[in-house]
Amino acid sequence: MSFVLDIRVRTTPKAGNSESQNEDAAALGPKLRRVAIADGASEGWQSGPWARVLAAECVRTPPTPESFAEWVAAARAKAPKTEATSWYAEEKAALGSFATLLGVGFEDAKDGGIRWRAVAIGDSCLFHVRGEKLLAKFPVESLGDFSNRPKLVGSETTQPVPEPDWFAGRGELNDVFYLLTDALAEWYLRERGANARPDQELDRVTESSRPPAAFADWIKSLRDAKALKNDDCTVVRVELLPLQGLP
Amino acid sequence: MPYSAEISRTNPACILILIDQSKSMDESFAGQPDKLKSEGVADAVNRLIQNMVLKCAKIDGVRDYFHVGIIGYGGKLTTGLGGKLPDEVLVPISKLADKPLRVENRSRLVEDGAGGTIEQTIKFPVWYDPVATGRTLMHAAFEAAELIVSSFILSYPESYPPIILNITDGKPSDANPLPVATRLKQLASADGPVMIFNLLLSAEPKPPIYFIDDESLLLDTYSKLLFRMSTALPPKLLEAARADGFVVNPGARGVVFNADLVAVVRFLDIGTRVTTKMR
Repeated sequence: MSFVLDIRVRTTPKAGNSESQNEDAAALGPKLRRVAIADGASEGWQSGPWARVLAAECVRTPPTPESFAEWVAAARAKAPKTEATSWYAEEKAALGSFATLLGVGFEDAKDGGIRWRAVAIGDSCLFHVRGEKLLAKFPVESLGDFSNRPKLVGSETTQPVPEPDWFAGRGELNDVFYLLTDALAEWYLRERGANARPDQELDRVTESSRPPAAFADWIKSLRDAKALKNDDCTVVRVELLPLQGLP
Repeated sequence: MPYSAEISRTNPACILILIDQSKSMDESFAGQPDKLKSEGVADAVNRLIQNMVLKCAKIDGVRDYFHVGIIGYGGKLTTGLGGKLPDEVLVPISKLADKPLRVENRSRLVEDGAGGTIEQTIKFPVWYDPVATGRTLMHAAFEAAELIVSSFILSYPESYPPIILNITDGKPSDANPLPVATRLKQLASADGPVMIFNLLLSAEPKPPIYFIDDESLLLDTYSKLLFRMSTALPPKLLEAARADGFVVNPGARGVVFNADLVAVVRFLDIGTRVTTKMR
């Protein structure tokens, strides 16, 4: 193994919601060299816990294009269940929970380089950066692709399995990958479009020496400046480091 | 941009439904002899509240994104949903969720997957029972609405603008409601003016007319009055109506004529379609 992942994660709920109402999820598998995020849809019954199941499963057993429907079925078997105590609990639980999903895994290529593969459903986004250069964005290409109705994975077996997007690329040591839920991804693309350096901002606010509250403060300042819509916000920053280079 | 305020527990949306309870509401829908107008409207309103509760229900509770009220107008003004006239008509949705009048078991036909249908029992919570007696005090109902909506805006000045939905089958018997409707449409939260949508139940079995933009298409004075009382659909609602298959032009008003039972359901659905995120 020629490289390791340096992973940092930060998350904060919508303004007005408590930490426990944050429906974003992140799963980290440093040894498996995989990470995933999922964004629970607020209309769902318990989309936060469902997002956590999806992200965790994506890291533990990543889906493949050939077996995606089976993979979703296996995740649904682990979806949180509810004891209905009211007419609406019964009905809403049956409607299920919904989330986006974005997973990425890294591996040694046969030629000695680094390969990565990603899967996405919905508008949680991956950005691959080398130095100042944005090498790849996935699955959202432009600001116009963000909508209020992203593709989502439902928790119920009666719901159709959405068609995921797949992507693969090659990485080098010191490349950085950002996994962002939609509000932050939209901000990131807008900043990039204005020739700003959102990576530097993200690097600064995810520094391991900074407390998690500093991230919440930074998000608040963006919301106050109307630069960010009010939504749960999550960033996972992954840097490819040489095996001996992990701080 | 108006009509873009986020709906939240600290900034809920107000939905006020005015329902004609005059004697003629106990007649059948034109072309649907087995369904009384009062009952059809009650079913549609109960279904609307059910859907709103489901929209707001999360495992940790029902979030008060909506404050909902009903004013009935027949021989006198009444209120539904446990609210009280004059100024406690609106009820937070979480209270409605936990306290329907009763939960009925109703049956509906669903496809069985083999080309046939099977009967399925569904839970149908009831908050509002049909009433039909006396005259049509529509002007008084709009005056009551003015008080309710203006105090809502005082309490929630940043909120998504209040929505008033008026369902009627006849002409007002007290006074012309146009002046008060005009005043109501001038009331506004920071996010835009109050919206008034009107629906006229059919007297004859003619196809419904949805969301027209040209008053000259209407022949009688009373239909013109309802048209003038109605708000033009904001751009996002226009889009929502188009997405639902309605042919609507810019300037289309939130007004439906010759409404049958299906039209009542579609009117309530479009009229309450909030176009912003709920948090």
